[in-house]
Amino acid sequence: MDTILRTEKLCKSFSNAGLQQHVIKNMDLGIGRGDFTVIMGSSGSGKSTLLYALSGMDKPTLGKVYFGEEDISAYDNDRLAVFRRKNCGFVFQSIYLLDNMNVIDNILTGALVAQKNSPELAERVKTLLKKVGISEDMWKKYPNQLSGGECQRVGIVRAVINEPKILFADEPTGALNSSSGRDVLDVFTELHKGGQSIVMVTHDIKTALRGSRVIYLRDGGIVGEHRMPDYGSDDNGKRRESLQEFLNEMGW
Amino acid sequence: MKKILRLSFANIKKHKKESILFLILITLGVVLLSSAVSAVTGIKTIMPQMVEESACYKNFVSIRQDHYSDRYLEFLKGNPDVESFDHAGFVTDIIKVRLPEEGDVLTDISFVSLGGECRMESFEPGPDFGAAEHPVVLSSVMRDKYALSEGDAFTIIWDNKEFTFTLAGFYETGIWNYGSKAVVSEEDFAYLENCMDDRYEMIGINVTDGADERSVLADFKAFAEEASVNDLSGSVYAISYEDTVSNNELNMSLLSIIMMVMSAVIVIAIMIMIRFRIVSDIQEQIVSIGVLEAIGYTSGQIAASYIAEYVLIALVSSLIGIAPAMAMAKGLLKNAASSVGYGGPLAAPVLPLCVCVAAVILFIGVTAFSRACSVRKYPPVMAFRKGIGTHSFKKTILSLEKTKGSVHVRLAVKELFGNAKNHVGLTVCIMACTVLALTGFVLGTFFGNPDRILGSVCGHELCDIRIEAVGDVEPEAFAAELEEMPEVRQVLTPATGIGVKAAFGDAGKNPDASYHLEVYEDYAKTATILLTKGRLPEHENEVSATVQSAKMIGAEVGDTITLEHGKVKKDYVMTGIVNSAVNPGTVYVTTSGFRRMNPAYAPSAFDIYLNEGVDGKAFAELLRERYGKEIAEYKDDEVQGETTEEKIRAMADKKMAEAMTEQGVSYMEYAICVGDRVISGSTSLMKIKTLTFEREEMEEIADMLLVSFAGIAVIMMFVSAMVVILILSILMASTIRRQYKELGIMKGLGYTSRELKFQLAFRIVPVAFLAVILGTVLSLLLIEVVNAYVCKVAVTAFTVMILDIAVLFYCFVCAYISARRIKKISVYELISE
Repeated sequence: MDTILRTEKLCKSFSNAGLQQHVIKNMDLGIGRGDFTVIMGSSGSGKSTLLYALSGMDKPTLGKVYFGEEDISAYDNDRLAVFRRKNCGFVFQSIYLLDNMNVIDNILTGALVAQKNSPELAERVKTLLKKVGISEDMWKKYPNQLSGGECQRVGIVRAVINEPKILFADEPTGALNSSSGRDVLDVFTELHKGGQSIVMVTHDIKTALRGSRVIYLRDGGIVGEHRMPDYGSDDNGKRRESLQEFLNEMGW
Repeated sequence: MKKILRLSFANIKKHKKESILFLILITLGVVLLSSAVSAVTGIKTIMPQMVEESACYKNFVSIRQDHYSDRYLEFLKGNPDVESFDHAGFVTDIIKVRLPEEGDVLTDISFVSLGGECRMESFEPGPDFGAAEHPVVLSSVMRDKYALSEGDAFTIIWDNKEFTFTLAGFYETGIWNYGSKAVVSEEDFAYLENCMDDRYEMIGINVTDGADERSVLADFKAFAEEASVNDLSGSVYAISYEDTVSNNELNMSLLSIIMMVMSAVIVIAIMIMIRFRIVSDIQEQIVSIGVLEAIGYTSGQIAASYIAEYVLIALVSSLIGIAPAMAMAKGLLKNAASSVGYGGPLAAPVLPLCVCVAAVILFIGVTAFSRACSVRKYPPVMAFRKGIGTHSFKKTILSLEKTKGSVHVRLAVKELFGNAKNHVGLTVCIMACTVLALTGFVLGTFFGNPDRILGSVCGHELCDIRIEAVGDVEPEAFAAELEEMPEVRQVLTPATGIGVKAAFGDAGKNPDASYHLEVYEDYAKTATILLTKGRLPEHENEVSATVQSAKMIGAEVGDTITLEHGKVKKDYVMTGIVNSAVNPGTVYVTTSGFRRMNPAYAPSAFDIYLNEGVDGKAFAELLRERYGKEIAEYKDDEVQGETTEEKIRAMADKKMAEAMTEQGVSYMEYAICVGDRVISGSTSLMKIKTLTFEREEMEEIADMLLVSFAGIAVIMMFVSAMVVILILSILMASTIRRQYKELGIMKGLGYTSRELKFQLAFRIVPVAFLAVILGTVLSLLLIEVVNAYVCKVAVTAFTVMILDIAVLFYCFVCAYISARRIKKISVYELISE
């Protein structure tokens, strides 16, 4: 498969009270184009750290991160920001909508940094909002006037509005109730079906089931990998069982 | 209390950088304000101290010696209102003194004899006075100004003559002719009296307790005028102690007042910044506030911690600032004292300084209290929910849907209008700083150019060379003769040293005041007399006046006033108001207008304006060749010559010159027989009484003015630049802290640090733009006041525009640089919080 993102001997460590804590250790990983990669692992295994190192949100301590043939680990912060706006979309656990802007403006804040305003953009915002189930009466509302699920769906629209080459999600349903979480995951599934490359961190098996590849981390390294047919293309019961089995093997 | 202080210290520690910026801002405010207040208070003691230490007279009347008579003193003898009086002669002039390091420097100096000074104040000559050759004792201010020491040679140069004294000491003068006095021996004084033109008799008067000194002086003046056969209106100058004190106090306090204005701007900035920062702190720390309340802190204690935080900063600032404030107050006092010629010991009053510091601390406490009380609005649960304030249900301002062009500009303006209220304070601060900077710059650059000063503050036409001709010169013919010379552009014939009284019926003021009279044949030929209103006189019944004279007279353009000269009174219509800072008490009439009061008037002064590129000194030599040397030169020159005839002619010239200067002879002829030979001559080749390089002399005076004006301008601009950078640093630091999350999210979305810095900095551009416009309007109004009361300051729209753009750009750059902390915001840290 064509690889969109790969790492070479990726290391990330933090200094804490004078002690170096190695969170990611010499990791080699490839993310396939169009893949829905789910990163799982116990707390402190380095899931989120890996996600942010892959996405250019954070710089690795050692090693390289290649986006296509570009070594983004050598970029400075401003160049990384430009890289992110052109190529990546993000969905956060804490959603992080801007409180002082309404739904449309929140999305456009992400969009207009990468592209010029146009009627096509406005149309695309509206189409995507409708697609994720945000009705027109909510478009002028502020985040505080929406439920958590609605906010996260707005967050997803903001993440994909620039048609990113890869979408990163850090426990996107972590702060939502089960019904809202399901709605949000349906959006991810739809995006994946449309060919969107996604990398998602989760510790929830139901969320992981939406992926096509699960990577399991322990102590900063990959200890296992599990491939599954795309969500909806097979018997979900079997997918769940095989994933459960894989996770049990990993000691989850 | 411990709890509160612990919270305050924690807050200061957390926001170290902002606290340091506040510390600097408050220290600057404390130093400027307290030193200025202390100096202004101290200035009031200078004159009384001078009088007490020197035991000098308090009220003075000076009369030109050729118009003085001992008969005038009859009024004072036995007058129940007069406690004591005495008088002494003095000569005064603007001459050059030769300094060891600086070379020849122009200075205003008055010479008085040892006996005269001992009569006027308690002057004690030092032991070296009698022993030194040509001893001179100068005021201590001159010692400090020119770095002189006892035993040095002190050479004065005037009218091509030199005289060298030996410095026999220095002393603290009283209030008569302060600062410029030089005490010399009786013999040397007699010599100077003989060769200097400006000779006066000074009468010192002390009145009895309860007597009105002004009316004693006015009555004395009236008595002298009555007793005199001459017209004394331009020759007598009287000033009461009260007037001396009030005139000087305003001048002495000017710098301190400017500093007070600057500190007022800083105090406003402090108030606005404290209010802004407390609001930001509460918004940012609202969850922490909820936690503190939940664990038992009362909202009062939390509010008190905010107040204590700023009071603590203010206390530290005051401790840091009090020593520099004392030093600055002393410096200001010394500067003020030296301007009135006092160099004695001075102590800056400590009490006003301490009161000022306490007032600043109190003001900061009250300002902090007024905002910190809003903590009470948030019970713990509401604080956990981040207060209702963060729930935004307001109308969307500047929706991004309508973005055309840069999204960064749109976001910046959107944020600005979304929090317009928070920016009112910033507008006021930048506006005040613009006023300081613009006014400072305009006045500084204006007064930094001697030509402009000369052109606008003199109030009379400045020529290259002024010739005072001897009495028998026929003015029209002489002027025409001069004008025909190829080097000369034009010749004007002004009047010099004429005084008049002016009255404006019952509505008028100060009917006894004297005014200096400027007389020109044709004002259309004058170029540097600047009008603020109306026009200069064209007809014989017209008069113009300086702003100050018009106010003194109480008349306006269109009013008919009565001028009195030599007991002749005539009515004139006021046609215009003139700017003149150097000669404020002046009125202007035409030559024919003046002849209405003095039909015999013939001008004796000839102002020569040279063509571009003509060397004034070389032209003066030419004049000497054609019209002879100055009369004083003939008189003072040693008789020289190779032949007997030459010696006889030189001797005859000397005698004629003496007769002309001392007896007022206007024409003489001589014929001397030597054997069978007759040597004859006349004064026909002695036409020049004095020749002065007016423009050059005024330029040297203007040079002295520039230093002080430029200094004030630089201080004003420096303080405003400091205030702007400090407030913008505090503002940006608080904004970044408050919007840490939003800025982090935007970084996550792909906004670069540079773009976010631009957005933050651009937010202040519309605010700064509005503030600069308002500041400019206020500055121009302020400059208008200077125009109306001091002198005409020319400000071009282009200068103002360039300066406004510079201020705007400076604000933007300061904000951009201050926003550099955005770089430190890590998206990863934000997400992993």
